[in-house]
Amino acid sequence: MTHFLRCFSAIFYKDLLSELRQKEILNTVLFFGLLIIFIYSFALGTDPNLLKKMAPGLLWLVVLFSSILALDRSFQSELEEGCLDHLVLYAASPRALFLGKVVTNFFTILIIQITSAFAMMILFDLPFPDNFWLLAVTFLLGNLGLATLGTFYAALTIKTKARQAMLPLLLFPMLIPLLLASVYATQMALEGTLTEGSSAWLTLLGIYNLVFLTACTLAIEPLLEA
Amino acid sequence: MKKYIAAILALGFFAFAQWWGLTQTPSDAMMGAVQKIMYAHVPAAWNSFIAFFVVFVSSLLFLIRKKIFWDRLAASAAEVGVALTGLTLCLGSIWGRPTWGVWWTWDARLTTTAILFFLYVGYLSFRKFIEDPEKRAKLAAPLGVLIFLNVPIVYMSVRWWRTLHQVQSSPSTMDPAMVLALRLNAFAFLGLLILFIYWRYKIAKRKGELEEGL
Amino acid sequence: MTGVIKGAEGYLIAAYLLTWTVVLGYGFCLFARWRKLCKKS
Repeated sequence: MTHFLRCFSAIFYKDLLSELRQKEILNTVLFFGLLIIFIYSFALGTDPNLLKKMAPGLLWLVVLFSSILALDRSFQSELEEGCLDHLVLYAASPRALFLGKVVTNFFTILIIQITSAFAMMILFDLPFPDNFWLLAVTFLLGNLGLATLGTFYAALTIKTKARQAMLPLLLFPMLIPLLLASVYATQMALEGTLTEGSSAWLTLLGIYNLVFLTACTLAIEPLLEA
Repeated sequence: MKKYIAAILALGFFAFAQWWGLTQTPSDAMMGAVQKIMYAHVPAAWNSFIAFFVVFVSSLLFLIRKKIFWDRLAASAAEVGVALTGLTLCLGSIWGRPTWGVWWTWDARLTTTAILFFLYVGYLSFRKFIEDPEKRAKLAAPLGVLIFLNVPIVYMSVRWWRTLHQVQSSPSTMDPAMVLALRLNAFAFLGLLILFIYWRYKIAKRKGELEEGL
Repeated sequence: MTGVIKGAEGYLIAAYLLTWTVVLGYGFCLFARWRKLCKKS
């Protein structure tokens, strides 16, 4: 068990370090998110009421598109010079490897999400959320689910030929429940009016995370050995 | 001739069931003749779910047993299931136009079926991109399991999102003659499902043997 | 929905034609693929 934890923290530390050392990548992804938010205004017009109404959905779309770029990287860098095979050989268990990468991706996506939310609040003139804690919990749960499935699918698609096309094609339909729950919980947090319905969406997010975190952790072993 | 006896039986029964549904049942009080689309739409939907359940079970068994048989079965069932789901969606659209006045509505069951269609088309195209059969089997099996786990969650989320589908067409609210026709057609589709999966499996096996022989 | 829907037989015919096209078409596709594989060996 201690071995597992050490393995897990080593992977997490390594990935976080390489993520922070290569600042260009994170910066590019963040800038990409900013750009999409900017482009929304051109595509949808500048009516502030319309933008306010659509803000939760647009926010999660930005996060989805930007995080695809970050997720795609998380295994690609390992593939160069056969690092992935060595990692699988050396690591105590592929599960520790997987969970370490999930946590790294979770923090990356969280940074993307917070930056995008700030940018939207300024550009779309959104008020400070009425229910801040609900918003925080929604962000955390939504990002955890996104990181779990995203990392798993990145590991899956890294072994195919058309990696960049396959990842969103496979991942987005799987994320539909997560997207629905996150968008509606975010909307309730921003408006602060319909707080009763939000607990149902948060429960759904919790179940979703529990199911896929368990299933992905169990299924990663044969996958990485393939 | 002997080789095709199963095919002739399945198709014959299918033709009989369809004829029965079209001619031997009363018209619906509200919807009239259009309601008879049900005898193709509902059984196709049921059987596509059976096909996807087969994908789930055989993917799981592949993960446990590591026999290539289960992988081929999963691939076959997925393909037949996608064909049936596509048919279900088109039929639902044709049914929805005269009854609801629109080709498409965002109701829970319709949307779930469409999401299923996307998920399994993704599964099939994922398989196409891996050449090595052993690697393909090892990578596709977790995918087959995960997709099926997502189905109830998708259904719950979409149902909370919105719902306007008619009350579930359960046997208790229908005329007994309609129930009989529905059951006949369900079994007819099941026969076709088994037949198609079997053929598709034989193709996959043959292909695998040819690849090994090369 | 008000009253019995009339004049919708076209939809019914289209639906059943589609069902049969899919069933026979898919079956024929499988058959053709099988024959092609048989010739290869």
